[in-house]
Amino acid sequence: MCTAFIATLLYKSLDRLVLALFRKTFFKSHMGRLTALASASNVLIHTLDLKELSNLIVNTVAEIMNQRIAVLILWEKGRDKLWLASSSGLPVSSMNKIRFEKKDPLIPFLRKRRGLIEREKCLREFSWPDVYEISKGFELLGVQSILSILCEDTWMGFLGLSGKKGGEVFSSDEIKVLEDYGKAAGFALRNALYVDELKQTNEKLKDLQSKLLQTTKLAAIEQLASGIAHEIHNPLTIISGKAQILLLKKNKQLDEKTLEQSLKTIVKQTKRAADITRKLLMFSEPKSSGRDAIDFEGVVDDTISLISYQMTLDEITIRKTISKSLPPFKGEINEIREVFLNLILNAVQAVGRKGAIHIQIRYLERESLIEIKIQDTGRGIQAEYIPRLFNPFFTTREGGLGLGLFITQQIIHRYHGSIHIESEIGKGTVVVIHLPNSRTSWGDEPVPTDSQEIRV
Amino acid sequence: MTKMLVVDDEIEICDFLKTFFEDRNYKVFTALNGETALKTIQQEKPSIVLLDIKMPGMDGIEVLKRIKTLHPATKVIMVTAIETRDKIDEATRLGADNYITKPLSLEYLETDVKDKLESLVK
Repeated sequence: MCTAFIATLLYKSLDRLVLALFRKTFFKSHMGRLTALASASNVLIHTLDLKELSNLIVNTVAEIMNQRIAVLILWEKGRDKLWLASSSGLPVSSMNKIRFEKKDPLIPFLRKRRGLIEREKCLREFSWPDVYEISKGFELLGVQSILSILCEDTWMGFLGLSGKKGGEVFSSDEIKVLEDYGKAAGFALRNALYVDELKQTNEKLKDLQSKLLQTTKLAAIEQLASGIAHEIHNPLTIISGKAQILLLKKNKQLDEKTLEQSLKTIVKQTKRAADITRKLLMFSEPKSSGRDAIDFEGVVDDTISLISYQMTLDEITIRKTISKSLPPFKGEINEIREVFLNLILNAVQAVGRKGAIHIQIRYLERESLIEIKIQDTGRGIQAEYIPRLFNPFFTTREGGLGLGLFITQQIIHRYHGSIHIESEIGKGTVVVIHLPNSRTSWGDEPVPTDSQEIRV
Repeated sequence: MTKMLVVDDEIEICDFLKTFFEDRNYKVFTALNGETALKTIQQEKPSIVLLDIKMPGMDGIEVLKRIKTLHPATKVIMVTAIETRDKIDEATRLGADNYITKPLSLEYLETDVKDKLESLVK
């Protein structure tokens, strides 16, 4: 019971005050202290953050064993360097001076001897000039004892301790507990170092992914460029045409009605041109918090309006059947837009002239999944290509980058969803996405659907 | 009165071109797509056609081909938003008399139309 309480405290907070109070009340006895350190050893493994763990190792031993100074020096295998990970009671002026090299005589000695080493005993083993160097090391840290940190057989660094008051040496019981603590710390540190490495790799990966996302976005925009140019040039033509006519007529009799109509048209067409650029810009918006409430219908409508001119030219019909009562879904709006843009663009290219696309979004109550289906009446995909569709750089379209579906899948997986494609030559293709959604206060009422056809 | 046909899928574009040329004593017909355009040409036999390239259904290039086969004397000015060089070359090869880009300068368009019609008289 007491152990569990201490464990929770150590795990949850490093508040030194709380620990100090504990020391005063519980650790008065010698045995109490050793039991507390042994319990603390079991707790270290739960901390995976390297910085937090280093502080925990240092502060715990300093408090429980009543150490004025405790210093954790770690050996970074990758860079083959020793560095100060955490310290307690060490003046800042000394902290900056602490530098150990692998070739310093102390280090190979520690690696060989392991366990807890007292300064005096250690110095006896060396002769001049090494004894001077080693003594300098102890002095620099302001410690009397050094405890090697081990993980299985790997030496990971050491913990310097100022020792007991009055220069007393640690008892054999204390050494045993401290050495066990060193092993527990080593084990926990190895895990934290792995996590740290993973975090760094993950950061690099995220960076790469965002660059990749940018590339696919640009490729999509390139495909949209001609349609968008028309969507801007046509309103500009109308605005400029109406204005030129008004200018030519300005000195002649100009009836109020014509003037009003012309000006209204100009205002309307200006808005039309502005809308298309605004929609295009939405795709280059910076990353949001990732907690946007996603309005699927809004995303679908924005995407459709972005490609509406292309659809008009090719006489493509898009039908949408979107449930009006989808459960709330949080995500990064840009990622969701990217998914719909990639899939709808693919469908538009697949159907060609006079094709039809059907976008369905509904909630699968039993599975707690949001289902997105994008179906086209296009030429279909050859069966042997289907398993390769999500591979990066795989494309069946001339001049295509082959990144659209790859990125789409990556995004869907980030939301713990799934995506698959079914296709039949000459009949068309359907892309099905399932996005999991934790059920909140969802009632049993039937989900009404709203089906409407957009003929453009 | 010279007969002119304006073909564009944007009704507002047809509209102001009609106003502009009617004020300059042309008889202006408009068509929102290729099919209507061909019917009007058949019935009205305009001297000059302003023809948009990008249109739903039959596009401007296709309409141009048919005009030049059925009524080779008809002058055709292609109106484009932004087209690739290839499209413009194709139009020229199929006998388009000129091409102008959107947004339009009405003054330039009028000069060009007059110019093409004069060559027709000669």
